[in-house]
Amino acid sequence: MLNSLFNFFKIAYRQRSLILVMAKREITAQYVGSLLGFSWTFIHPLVLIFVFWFVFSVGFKVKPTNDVPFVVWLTAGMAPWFLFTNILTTSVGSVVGHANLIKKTVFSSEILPIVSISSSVVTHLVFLVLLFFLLIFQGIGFSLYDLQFLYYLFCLCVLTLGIGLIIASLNVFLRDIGQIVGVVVQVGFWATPIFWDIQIMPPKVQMLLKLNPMFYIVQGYRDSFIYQTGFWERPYLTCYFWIVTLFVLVIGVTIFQRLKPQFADVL
Amino acid sequence: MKTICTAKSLQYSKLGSSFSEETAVAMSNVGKIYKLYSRPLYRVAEALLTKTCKHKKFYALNDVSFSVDRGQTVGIIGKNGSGKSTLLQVVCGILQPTAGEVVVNGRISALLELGAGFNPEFTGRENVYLNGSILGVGRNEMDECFQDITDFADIGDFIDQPVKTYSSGMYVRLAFAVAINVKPDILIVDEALSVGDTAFQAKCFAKFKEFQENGVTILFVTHSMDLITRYCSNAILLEQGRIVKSGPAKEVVDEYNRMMANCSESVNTPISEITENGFYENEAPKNKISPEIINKNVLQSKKNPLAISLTTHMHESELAYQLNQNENRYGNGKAEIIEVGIDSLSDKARYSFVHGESYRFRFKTLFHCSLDNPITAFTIKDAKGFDLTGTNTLFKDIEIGKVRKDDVVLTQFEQRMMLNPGGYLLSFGCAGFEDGEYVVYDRRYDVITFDVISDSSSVGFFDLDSKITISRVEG
Repeated sequence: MLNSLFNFFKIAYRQRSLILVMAKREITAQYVGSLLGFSWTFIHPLVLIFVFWFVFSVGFKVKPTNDVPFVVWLTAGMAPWFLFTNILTTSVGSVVGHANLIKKTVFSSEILPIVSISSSVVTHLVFLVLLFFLLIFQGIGFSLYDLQFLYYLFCLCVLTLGIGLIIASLNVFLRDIGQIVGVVVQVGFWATPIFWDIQIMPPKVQMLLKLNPMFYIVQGYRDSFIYQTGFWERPYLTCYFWIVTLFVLVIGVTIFQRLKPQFADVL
Repeated sequence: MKTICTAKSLQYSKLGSSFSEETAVAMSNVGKIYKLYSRPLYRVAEALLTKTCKHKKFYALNDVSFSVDRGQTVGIIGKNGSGKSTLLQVVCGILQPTAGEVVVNGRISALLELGAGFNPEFTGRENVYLNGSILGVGRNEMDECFQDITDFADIGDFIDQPVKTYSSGMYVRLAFAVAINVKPDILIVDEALSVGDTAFQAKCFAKFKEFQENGVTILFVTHSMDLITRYCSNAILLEQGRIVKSGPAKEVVDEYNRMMANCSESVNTPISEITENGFYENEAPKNKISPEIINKNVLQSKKNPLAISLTTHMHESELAYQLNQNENRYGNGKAEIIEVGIDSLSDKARYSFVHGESYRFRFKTLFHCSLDNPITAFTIKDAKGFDLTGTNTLFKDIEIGKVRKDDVVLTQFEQRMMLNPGGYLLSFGCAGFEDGEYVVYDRRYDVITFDVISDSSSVGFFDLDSKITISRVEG
């Protein structure tokens, strides 16, 4: 088990330059041929945040949640969720989408979910830059705790790597996985306290909701940008998250390596 | 860098050491079985749970063993679907063998499909670098050989245009340029070269020569027997996933040609059902076509008294040509080529084929039913089996007209022997059109072999009988 995990990271390290090149290509591929090019990476989230602000601050005049403007609170929680969805939806098709490389070139398909993560993280960082401007605009300002998002970003990457490996390899054989991921992401958005505060739920339900590893990350982003709470202040949840995440990662690597020899046969 | 890949990785080092350092690529008892499951879920279950599910087996490769020494160029030939590409993919490590062992010694650069790994939206330059990364070549190393790549590909300013704007020729040129300029130890090429124009192909093969001198091992798949005989020291002939023959290129190509000739019988030619009474006029339904019937057909014609008289006639002839015992004969039996021969029309060369003299190819055709305007033809092949020349009554606008049952038609082709010295195979055929479809009545491939001699030397297969004039021009 640990051996295969070690092997996996060894391959990933050896192929690091290819991962970078492919991630770069994946990002530019979205905008290749368009006039504005990479600017679109800014325009999409900018418009989204503006709409949030307009709807919730100007239009509905939603009351601040825990003394924070709703739009800030929402955007901070939304950011990791967007990344999560983005990684999962690109990962699931990554192996199938690179059938040509897998079948016709000597290629380590392990790196594909990592490529998906790398390219999605770039888009995510752009989103966070805009979030910063929103924080300043709403008068919340900067603190050292803001940098803690890097830890939660790392958490998210490890979690999505595990899930990505599972869904990418299974999707080769069962194309239903792509559809299932779509549904789960839809449901997950509402099942995770992103649009609503977990405090509105009865304590028993809260316990249940906290089992969702994405809750840890969404809460973590808000802790970093808004509440200035360190992850060490949530030891139980941190432990729980890492146990689940490492378990998922080991399962992911194992499944991927078991199924990998058959990719070229099936694609 | 030595990669060993086994079906059961337990055997790994033990078997790996049995190959010498001089071996570039070796396979021992390699099998590749595709399991065909009735439901995709079974495949996943079997891979994850090591439990055997119901499946059918398809052998893409079966007990394949060979070894290629460093610096050899080996051609892999075979019919479509015989496992050539699978073999290359297994060598590359793209496909995992289900049995046996593969040893690869050195860096592989593979050109399995035109521009695999090229993204059409990106420029040639970007794709070159990406392709390099996939091949495991770093950016710096790529910078060094980038100039060589662009020089070789010779696509000019298109290097900075998206690859989707390329013609297929430019595509293959760039892909090939990358594959050969990353300094591989083993180059693997699958059928890609045929896309380039003649000039580019010549350039590629010049590069092949250079590689051969530098000890690079080359494996390539092609359907062009000409390329195999010209560039490969050895060849491997695959048929239904098995190695039928391997060895010196020329011998393997001969075997392949023989195999292809045999197979075209059963695929293309409708054969009439033969009874003891003779031939039915109606064509047999396609599902009755079987090798047995074909053999019977040949057998029958051998027993034919006319055929015997034909052989006797041959013995009487003093012109030096041989009737080929291993001719390939097929047809639906509506006509029969019964008497074949070559006559010398020159007094100077009565007994041998002398370059530049005139000869007459002739054969008689016996018709077993009435036919409308049949066509008679001859073809000359060289010893390797390439068609060199030939013609027929249709090309020459000669109408045989209506023939009735038991008619015998004599066809004679007269010409000067412009072939250069060497051994040649002569084929005769009688065919026609029935309801717009081309039907072969009788075809006798390679029925005669003959040798041409000459007292002057020249280049290639043909002599165009060039008249040379020299005049001194005042500067």
